[in-house]
Amino acid sequence: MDKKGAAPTLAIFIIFILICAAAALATFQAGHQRQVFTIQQLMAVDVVRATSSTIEGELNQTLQSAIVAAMYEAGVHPENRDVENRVIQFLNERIALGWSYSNENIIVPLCDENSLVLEWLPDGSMRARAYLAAEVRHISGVVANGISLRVNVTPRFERLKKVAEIALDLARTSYYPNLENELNNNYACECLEILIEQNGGLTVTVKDTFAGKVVVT
Amino acid sequence: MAVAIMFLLVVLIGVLLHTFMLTPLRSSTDRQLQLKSEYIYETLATAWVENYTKSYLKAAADNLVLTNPTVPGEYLRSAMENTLDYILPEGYAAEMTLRLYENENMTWELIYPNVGQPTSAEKQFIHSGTISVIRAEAEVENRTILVQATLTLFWGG
Repeated sequence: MDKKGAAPTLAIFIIFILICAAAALATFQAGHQRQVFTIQQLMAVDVVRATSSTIEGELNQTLQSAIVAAMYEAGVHPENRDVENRVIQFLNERIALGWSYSNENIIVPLCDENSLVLEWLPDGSMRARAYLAAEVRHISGVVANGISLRVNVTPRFERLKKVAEIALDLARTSYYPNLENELNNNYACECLEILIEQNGGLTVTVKDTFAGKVVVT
Repeated sequence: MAVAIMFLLVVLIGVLLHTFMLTPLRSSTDRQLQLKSEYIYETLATAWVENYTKSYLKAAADNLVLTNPTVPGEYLRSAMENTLDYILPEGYAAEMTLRLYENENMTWELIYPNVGQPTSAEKQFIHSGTISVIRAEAEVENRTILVQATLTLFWGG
């Protein structure tokens, strides 16, 4: 009796085995694909976030460098003392060069006076804030939006300019035998160093010894 | 009956093996190391070298570009090695390379610990970025100096 029922039972079990194996395989594959997809998406999120953060960090330093360069140029070119437009121009020149990362499309819009706020602080230094509607898009579709810039620059450009103008005016209109020493004594507490030279024309140089190498003539 | 029980055991063991499969674990470890390389890069890009108001990467770019950099080269290397010693995962080494866009022969390189260049067979976790320096009193085309910075994290043994 047992031997008679063995063949159909075995056949049923084989079919059962095949169906279960196929179902298990499909489940495993689907689970594995879900895991791989999740990991890929997480990696893409990490990548765009890291790229966005790297660009933001770089642009912050570029903005700082641009402000110092603009102050320097405005200082040595008395015919054009416009710092703000120079900063915007220098920063835009960097943005225009663009960025190249594999698997990512990066769009950073140029800044203007609406997106970049430059504030002169009471001590004559400058603070800059900006929000750029940037887009870092990974080929998988993940996107990081926006870059925020915030920079405080230590050179007190407006104060240096004012002191340079005062020193120049005094050197032209008044006679003080030790004007340079007197001025240096007066402004020593502000960490300003003043140099007056007569090389054909009158040149006044004011150095911010606290902040670094910034010169106004 | 015995065949059925054996089959069910095989399926259960298969499920258990699949649950404990190491592939996702390895991927997660790789992801952590990739994040770590980004974290190390960002640390070097934002943290200042002690006694100087410049970040490690900015100071390294200055060393590459300027004749008289603010942070002396040897001091920068020593300070960067100290920082890397603190933030590197155990057993891993980092290679920091800076290369001038205008002239690819001009490079600044640091490997810590000094285990030599990573081989192509080793798994590497790379993060790169750019450092830009604005040059005053320069023509428009020469005003922005671009330096490519690449951090490679690899198993140092």
